[in-house]
Amino acid sequence: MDPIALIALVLFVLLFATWILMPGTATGVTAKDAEASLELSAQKA
Amino acid sequence: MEAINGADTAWVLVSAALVMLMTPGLALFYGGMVREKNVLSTIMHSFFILALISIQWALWGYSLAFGPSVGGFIGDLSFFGLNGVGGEPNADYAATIPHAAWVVFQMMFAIITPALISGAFAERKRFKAFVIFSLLWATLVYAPVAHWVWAVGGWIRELGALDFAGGTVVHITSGVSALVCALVLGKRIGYGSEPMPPHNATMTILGTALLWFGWFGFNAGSSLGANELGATAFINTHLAAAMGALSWMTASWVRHKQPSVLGAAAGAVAGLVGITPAAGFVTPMSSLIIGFLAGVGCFVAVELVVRGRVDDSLDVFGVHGVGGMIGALATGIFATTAVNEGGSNGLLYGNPGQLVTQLIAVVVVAVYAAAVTWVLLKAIDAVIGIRVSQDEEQRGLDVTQHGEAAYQP
Repeated sequence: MDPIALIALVLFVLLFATWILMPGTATGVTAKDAEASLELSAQKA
Repeated sequence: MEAINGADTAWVLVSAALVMLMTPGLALFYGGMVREKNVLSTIMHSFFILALISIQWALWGYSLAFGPSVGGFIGDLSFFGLNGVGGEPNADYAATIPHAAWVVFQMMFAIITPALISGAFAERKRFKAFVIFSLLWATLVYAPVAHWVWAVGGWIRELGALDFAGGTVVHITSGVSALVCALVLGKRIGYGSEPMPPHNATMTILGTALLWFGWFGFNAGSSLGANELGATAFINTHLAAAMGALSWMTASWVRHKQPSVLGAAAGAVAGLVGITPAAGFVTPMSSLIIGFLAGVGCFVAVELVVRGRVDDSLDVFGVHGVGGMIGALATGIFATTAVNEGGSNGLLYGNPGQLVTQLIAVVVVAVYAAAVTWVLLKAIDAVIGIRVSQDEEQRGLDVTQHGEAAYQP
């Protein structure tokens, strides 16, 4: 395998792993967070 | 002499039109990021330059940049007023297209470069000072540097420095000059003490999309032919933009705890800037790495500029100056003659000297652009003043400089 392609793959995997681990991702948002957000939107409206 | 090739000519003319669209795209990109009271004046910077530099380029700019070399430093005035420019190719640069097509393609590069600088002095520069500065800068910075790097006989080109589509000529010159502008003009009133949020982020995203689209002409068009090299430059451009968007957004997510939309847009532009000098010299996988480096590197640079309390209003130095430098140096690392026989191998392909050559080009061009920009700004300031009054700045430049408003109450 082209080593440069391997480095590119590693970088992409690192980015992807960061998204998964960061708070606020789809996996990190709880139902309670979503409800609170909807309530806030309703209040603003 | 080769005959004119219809496909090559069509591609270069279409590319010129694509690059032309980048300047209005830049106007929207910048216009969305300023406050509501300055949106028209910010858009006007790009729109006005589109007209101004077109004329300058036709009269003397092109000849200074690409006329027969005088000692490797500047072109002579053989092509003044487009003298001798017509349907016959200029074989020194593009043997298969009309000379006029080459001139108009290069004209679009000359236009967008000073327009890029305008992001650094948005919301506080007098329009009259901007007009004078732009004309002088295009003549005294852009044309000579374009000659050094791209013209036959240009001394940086003779050194062997690579710049496929303008990382050094366009982005380092404009980015470094932008930093000097920010320092000389000083901060906007209220900078650091009151919020200055973008007034219309959707406008900025639209501008980003137009820039990305136009950049295909900028980079792939620089192949000057409908050929394999153009296709490689095209895919490299797209991949670097995508990686730049992802990496900047990720860095901003880690730093500020949220994935910024404007960050993704700025990252795409950073990736595009980074790949510009390399687009026709590297493989697509290398372009991914360059896009990553540009996205993260430019994000860090912008953070440092903000931390240094320099009011580079729309991050021109961080994105274009630093992105251009990253791209120019990366070209010295990743370039391979397997992609472009007319180029050179870089560090990873057994030629470390190419990286040194790239570094010399970066340093010389950055220092020259900074020095001339500083002198121009100081001279213009001494004669007519470069900054609007405090009252004008607080009322906004749209009304005080142009007598118009973008939005009616």
